Amino acid sequence: MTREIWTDQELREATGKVREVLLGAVPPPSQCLHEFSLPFQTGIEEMKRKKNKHKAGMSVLTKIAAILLVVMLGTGVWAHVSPDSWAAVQSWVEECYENSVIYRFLNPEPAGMASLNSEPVEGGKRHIGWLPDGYKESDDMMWADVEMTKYVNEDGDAIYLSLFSASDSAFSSLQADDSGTYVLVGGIPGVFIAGESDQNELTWVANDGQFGYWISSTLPMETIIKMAKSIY
Amino acid sequence: MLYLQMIESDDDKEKFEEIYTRYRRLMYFIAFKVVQNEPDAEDAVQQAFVSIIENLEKIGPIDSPQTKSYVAIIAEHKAIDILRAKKRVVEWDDNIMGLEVEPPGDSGLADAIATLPGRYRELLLLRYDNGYDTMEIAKMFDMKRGTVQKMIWRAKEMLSKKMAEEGY
Repeated sequence: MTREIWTDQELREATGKVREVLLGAVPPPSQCLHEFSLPFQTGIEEMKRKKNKHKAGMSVLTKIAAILLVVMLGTGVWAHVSPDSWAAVQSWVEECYENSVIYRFLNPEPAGMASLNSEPVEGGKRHIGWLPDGYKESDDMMWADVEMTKYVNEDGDAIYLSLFSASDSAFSSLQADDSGTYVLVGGIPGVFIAGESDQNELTWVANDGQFGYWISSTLPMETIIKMAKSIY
Repeated sequence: MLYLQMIESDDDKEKFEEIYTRYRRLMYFIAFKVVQNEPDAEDAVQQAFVSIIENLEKIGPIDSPQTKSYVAIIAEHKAIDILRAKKRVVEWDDNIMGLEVEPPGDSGLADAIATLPGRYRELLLLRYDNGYDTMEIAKMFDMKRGTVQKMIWRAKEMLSKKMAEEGY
């Protein structure tokens, strides 16, 4: 098992050298001559117009979102969820982009909620306590401030667990063919993204925003939640 | 729910215009190197500008080496996307080389990174030279974070293998 073969500093220096070579091999912008086609230029202009139009509608869209929230509460969609959990759902803000939706954890300490699960673990490492049959830990590494662990089975199917320590890392993204939902792990909501033909993933953050993880795998939602609940 | 427009302010619009004016031909040059035909190269550049608009706030000084590198990487990435679509490349069998980058000659990590397939080289440059985090990279590439995670593992494995083979 290998942990962090290269330091961030080594990787920064190495990629800096690669960037110098990469940019040294292309001519300066002033010497790149190409007359863009009319469809290209029209497309760029359309792109700019579309975005400015979008901006004009922003306040209206925000109001619509607020109305939907009231309807959901009124119809009791979340009736089985505690008020504290519902408050925590509101810590996740959805940002809608052209091709994706980003779920961002914004409020680290929702009112009335105690901090859970963010205490440091002895030895500094967390694990998935329950794994589906045949899976075992195969490798781990650090990627910036994220600790990643890989579990595989005999067929080479993988489960990825990534642990992060700051709320800045608490994002999840929804692509065009995916669907997203809030799920509860230990009474605290996380975001589950079901991939159409790719990985499923669950992103979860402790109440105080100081610790979180995401799990990605092709396994179904129930299995991923079961693994999430067993993290220690 | 918060809806975001891509160009939020006059400052952003000015920033975008400056990037467009300064780098569009450079981006075309790079995209053409990958796809080898004009229509696809222009498509790649147009898609790259969609990504640039969405990430405008993360772009630093326009004339910095990092910004130049960033637009070059995005152009290459979108051009590889087009090639992949045409070749029906399976996601995890993605070894399209993209731009040919000469090894810097350090007989070490930099040389190994330079010779990675474009997808993986781009990922490492954006993370370590430009300083973007996993989620920002996922958004730039229109990928889920889980997909970026898998690419990180593969990049690491490929680097380890290359360095062992070359005796670095």
